[in-house]
Amino acid sequence: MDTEAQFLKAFDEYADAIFKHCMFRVSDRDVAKDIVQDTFCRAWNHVARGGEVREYRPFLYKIATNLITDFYRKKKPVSLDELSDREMNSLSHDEREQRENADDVRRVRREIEKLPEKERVVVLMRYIDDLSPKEIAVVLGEKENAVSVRIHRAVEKLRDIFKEL
Amino acid sequence: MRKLEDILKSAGKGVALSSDEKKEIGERLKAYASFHPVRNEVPERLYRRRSPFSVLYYSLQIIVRKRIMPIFLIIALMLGGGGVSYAAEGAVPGDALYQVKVNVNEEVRDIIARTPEAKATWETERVTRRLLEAEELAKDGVLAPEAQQKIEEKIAEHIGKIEDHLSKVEERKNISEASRIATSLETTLRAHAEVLTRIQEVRDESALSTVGTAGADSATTAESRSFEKDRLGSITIKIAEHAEKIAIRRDAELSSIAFQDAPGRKVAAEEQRKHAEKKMGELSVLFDARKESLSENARRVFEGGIADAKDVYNKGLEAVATEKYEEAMRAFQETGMIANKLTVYLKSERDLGVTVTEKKTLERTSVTMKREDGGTKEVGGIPTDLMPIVHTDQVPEGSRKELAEAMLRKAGVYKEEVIKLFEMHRASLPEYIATRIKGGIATAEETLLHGMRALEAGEYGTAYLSAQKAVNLLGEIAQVIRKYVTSDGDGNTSIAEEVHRAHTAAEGALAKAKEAIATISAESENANSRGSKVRALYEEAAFTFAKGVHAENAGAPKEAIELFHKTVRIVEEIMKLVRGEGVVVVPSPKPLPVPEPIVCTKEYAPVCASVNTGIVCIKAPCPTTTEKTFGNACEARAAGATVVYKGECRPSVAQCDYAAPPQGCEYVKGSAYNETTRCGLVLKCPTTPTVKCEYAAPIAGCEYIHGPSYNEVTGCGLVLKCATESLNTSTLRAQEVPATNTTEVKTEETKTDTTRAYTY
Repeated sequence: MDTEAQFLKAFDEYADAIFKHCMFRVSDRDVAKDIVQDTFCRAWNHVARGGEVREYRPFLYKIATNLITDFYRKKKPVSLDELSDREMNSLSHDEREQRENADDVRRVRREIEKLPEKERVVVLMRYIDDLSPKEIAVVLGEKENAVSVRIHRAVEKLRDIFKEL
Repeated sequence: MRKLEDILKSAGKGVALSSDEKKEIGERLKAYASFHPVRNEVPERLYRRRSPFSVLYYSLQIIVRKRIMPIFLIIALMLGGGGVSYAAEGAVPGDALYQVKVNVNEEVRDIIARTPEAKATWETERVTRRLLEAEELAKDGVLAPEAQQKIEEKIAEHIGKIEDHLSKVEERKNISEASRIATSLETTLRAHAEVLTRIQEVRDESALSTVGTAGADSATTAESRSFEKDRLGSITIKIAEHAEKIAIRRDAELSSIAFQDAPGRKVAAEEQRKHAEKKMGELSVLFDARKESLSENARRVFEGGIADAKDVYNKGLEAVATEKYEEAMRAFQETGMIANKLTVYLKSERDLGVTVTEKKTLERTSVTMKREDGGTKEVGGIPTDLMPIVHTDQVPEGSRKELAEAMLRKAGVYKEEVIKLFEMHRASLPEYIATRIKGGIATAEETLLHGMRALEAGEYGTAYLSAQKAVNLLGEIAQVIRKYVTSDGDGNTSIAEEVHRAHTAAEGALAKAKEAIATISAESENANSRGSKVRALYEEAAFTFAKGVHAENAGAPKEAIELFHKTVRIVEEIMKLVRGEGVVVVPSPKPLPVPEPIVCTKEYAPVCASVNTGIVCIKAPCPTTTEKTFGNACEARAAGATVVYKGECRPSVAQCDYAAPPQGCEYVKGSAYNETTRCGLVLKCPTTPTVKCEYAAPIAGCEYIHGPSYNEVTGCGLVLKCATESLNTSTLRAQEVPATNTTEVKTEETKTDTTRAYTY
């Protein structure tokens, strides 16, 4: 398979997953779409310059994570909260009717938002994006052990919150 | 209760791109991939310039969807492949490939730009491209009326789009980016207006310098030149107007940034710093490359400009250090503006050979300084007290609300005033203008409402910006109304009627001219010579009329009247020519003493000029001057040469050259002497009189015989031969001395053939 076909296949397979990840991180549909497009453009730049990509999934997540970090650097912090509230409400609104566990889901989403950035990222990658701790370790450039511990801690935190509720 | 892990996993379900969104991003990526193909050995930047087949397919989709191109061009594209789209990049209006450049290449890039910020930036680039096209055509004096109209329309269209995108950027609360884009557009417009003005000046100068050599200007040429001048003037004014409008927006954005919280302002200042650095970097690379070819004066001016920019940049850095982000932002923005302007000037010097810095030193652009008039003049119909105030520091927490409220209140009052003005003059406004005004007022009301809501939500910056936007819009509306209702001296006739009258008159005149042209072509052969002039004038008249109609529709009645009157005047000229009266020959102005130029443009309009060789001929005539081709008249004058004729020097007729004449001789004109070639000279030397030798009668027993040095002509060189052997020959030699002439005769020096000429 040639480079372009491989790349397009990766887009078909992972565009939604990357979008979902971005959506949870930036809480703005338009921004998330932008980041998805930029992610794939950068990935293409890499392969077009002769770069090798063994596995697209962690590679794409890595680019997306960097872009999200850039986005937060540029973004002024002041309007973030209001944006995320607005987006999250509208996001859950559509699904509320259709899901019996909508309340739980919404609550989980809100609680994930409240986690520290580092923990939020690993929880999102583990449960929403369904990446293995090993893959997460590759994306974040950290040790697999550290990632596993962080996931565990974050889940424990969430569990505590849910118990309180 | 379900397990937390399960809930977590299900939290992500249902969050996905819609199929349309995915398809859209997919298409963009395909286009992107085509523009950035996989690199083999060739450097990537070369590939970027290429436009491969896959782009062609994508481009065709757009063309077919938008129906923007004639079918033959589509076929041409299919046959020509990607090269066409690349070749089209250099096209200017009037070229066959211009459509490809504007409607395919640029549209594809527009689609690839995803965010409103990227789209606005790209549209700014498109404005620059249009301006460059206008400059390129204007420089060569071939900016045809249609091309100019096309360019003006396109510029207005691009700026309209930029404003839409900027509104979106503002909605996304990325005010600093909006302000940056607006600033960049404003500087680009102002700098290019300068370049266009300079092109006009250069053309005026070259027209003056050729008056003397190319003979008297005919009235028609003078007339056409004045039309060209008008047109260039009009495009420059339009660009300046656009710049003014954008400047108001930028001011409003800048002042609303003062409402932001400190972290937001810090980020904004940082972004502006990066942008300023980027612009400075570009400028310094360009300047280093061009430094050598700049004149001393120009180089000094540029160096001064760069030093200014650096100063302002350093002030910005100081302001960041002291946490004065407002000041820092403005300083960085100003740095970017100066750098941008200088870059435009350098590029126009490089690509067009137009040196903007020749005449004057660059004025310093200051964001804090309110335009040239100090902000006192009413700009865009907006009263001065409603103009955005650029806050020098962050608006204090307490007064933010008051400021935003006050601005909204003022805007509300202003809206009422404008509505009252509209109601008052509604009857005298044409229907389509009234409809447009109503639409404008509705938009302003909506914007104000948006501002109110933002105020309630505590977003004072947004509220302030909305109020400003509403004021800008209302200002434009008021301007249009005032233009239409300004009555003439008596206050009876409304300007709308006057426009209508002028319009009808011009239309009638044009029709008359058209009829007259039809008759002229059927007439005698002398009509043919006038034909081309008449047709050129008619074209100009039609263009002026079209511009008048455009101005009328755009709500500029005074300009429209002016243009309609001009149409009538041109038609009068046409009629004079048709009747055979000829145009009144305008006495061509006396050529002014042209000072020796210091800096010349690099355009190639060759002239043949005579240069002093510096050779002083003393003994024989020799050429003291020689003809040399110069790039243009200015360069010739700068070298102290005298322009002989336009165009490169023609090879001179072969001339004869003679070797230096021998001592005591000189060349004189022979019977076959030719004045032009200087051939046919003959060598003339002073001749010594021929002396004959006479010998005394030989002594007895002796006789004279021819000696070894005997000469037939002079009869000298006889020797005495005696029968007596005892006679000493040396004695005899003593007797050789001629009796009548004691001078020594040197026969070798006597030239008998004096007509020898050396012809090469």
